[in-house]
Amino acid sequence: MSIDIEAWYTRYAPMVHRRCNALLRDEEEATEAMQDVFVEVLRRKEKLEVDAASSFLYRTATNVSLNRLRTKKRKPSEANDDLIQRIAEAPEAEDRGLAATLLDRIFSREQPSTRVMATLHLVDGWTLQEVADEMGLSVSGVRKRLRVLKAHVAELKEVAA
Amino acid sequence: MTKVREFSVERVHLGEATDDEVEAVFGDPAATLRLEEVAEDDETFHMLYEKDEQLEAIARRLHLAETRDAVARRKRMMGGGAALLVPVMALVGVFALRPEVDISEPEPLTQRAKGLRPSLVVHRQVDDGEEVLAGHDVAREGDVLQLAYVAGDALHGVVVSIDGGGSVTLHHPPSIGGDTRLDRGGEARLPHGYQLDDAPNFERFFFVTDDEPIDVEAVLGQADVLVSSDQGLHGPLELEGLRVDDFVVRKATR
Repeated sequence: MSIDIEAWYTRYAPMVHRRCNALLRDEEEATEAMQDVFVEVLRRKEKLEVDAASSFLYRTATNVSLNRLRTKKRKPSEANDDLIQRIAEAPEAEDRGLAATLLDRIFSREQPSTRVMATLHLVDGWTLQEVADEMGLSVSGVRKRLRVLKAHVAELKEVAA
Repeated sequence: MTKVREFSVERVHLGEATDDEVEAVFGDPAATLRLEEVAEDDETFHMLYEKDEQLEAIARRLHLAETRDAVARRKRMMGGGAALLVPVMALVGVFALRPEVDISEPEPLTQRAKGLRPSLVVHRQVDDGEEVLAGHDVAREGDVLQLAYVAGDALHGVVVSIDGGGSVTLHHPPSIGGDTRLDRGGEARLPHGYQLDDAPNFERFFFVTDDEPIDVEAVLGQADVLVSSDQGLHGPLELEGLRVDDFVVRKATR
């Protein structure tokens, strides 16, 4: 896919930065994460087939931010931070059998991230249907994945308590 | 009423929303207000984050990621059948099996049509080697930076830095009267690493280039002027007729 990175940056970078900052709560970290999101775009541009760039970038920003939280182990300062951190540290409950063919339309090599789904549903308050639509999965598929992740998040909480 | 998703607000702002999302956002006063805030935030963002700087930072990060990928591929290739391959390699030469690893300078995204431009490359020593910093990355007191440059189409250059403590440091040439000629064979490292001190907020490196020898004293003088102003982080290094590129490292306290 041909991408005019300058045009993408001008149009989408503020949204990507806001998303990263909302999860990371650190302006500098968010700026680096925003840069990493565009690096991902450039690295995968040959295989990228995106109908709605905002959707793809929002998911990628979520994923990149969670990965950063996973390695940084931020100390939570707000109620939601604790939940986000626990989601970030949870393992991916990948089930390749659930990967819908619709994903190929969105991003041929992208596997739906359970952590991203969990963030959209548990942190951002998206309905299961909205998450399913966004990720190209069935509602039951999303529910199944989140069940595994929720169990792990609960385990983490017990260990921390 | 269900709270309108932040993402829906973003999509309406970008003009990529569905009819339902548009209806939801404009039907909710809080979401409509948020829409206005997002538009204002876009303007603030573009004022705070200069596009060319960010695109250069992205280019550096991309270059680093691709270099790591290439090294990883090389390791995988060399690792798998290493025991079997050793005698063979002794005969045919190791490098015949080595895939290409591009360690040249990143191509600046904003300059694709303008030829290779002079640029600074800043490495930081870490436990297991080095990492390449992107512009505006955060570093700390005690970090050791290794400066390098890519001369591009320039013949002469001066590398100087200013910091949040008001200091000016000359990195290339080694002295005021030194030769400003540049090495032009790809990425050229300066002879010594540079340890960050406790100066606050930032370290800003400048790469001043030209086709002719450069008056180092004049560069240092302008750096002094800049660092003495309150524009050290963002202000221009005023050197008429010379090309000036910069690289900012933000400072965090330990």
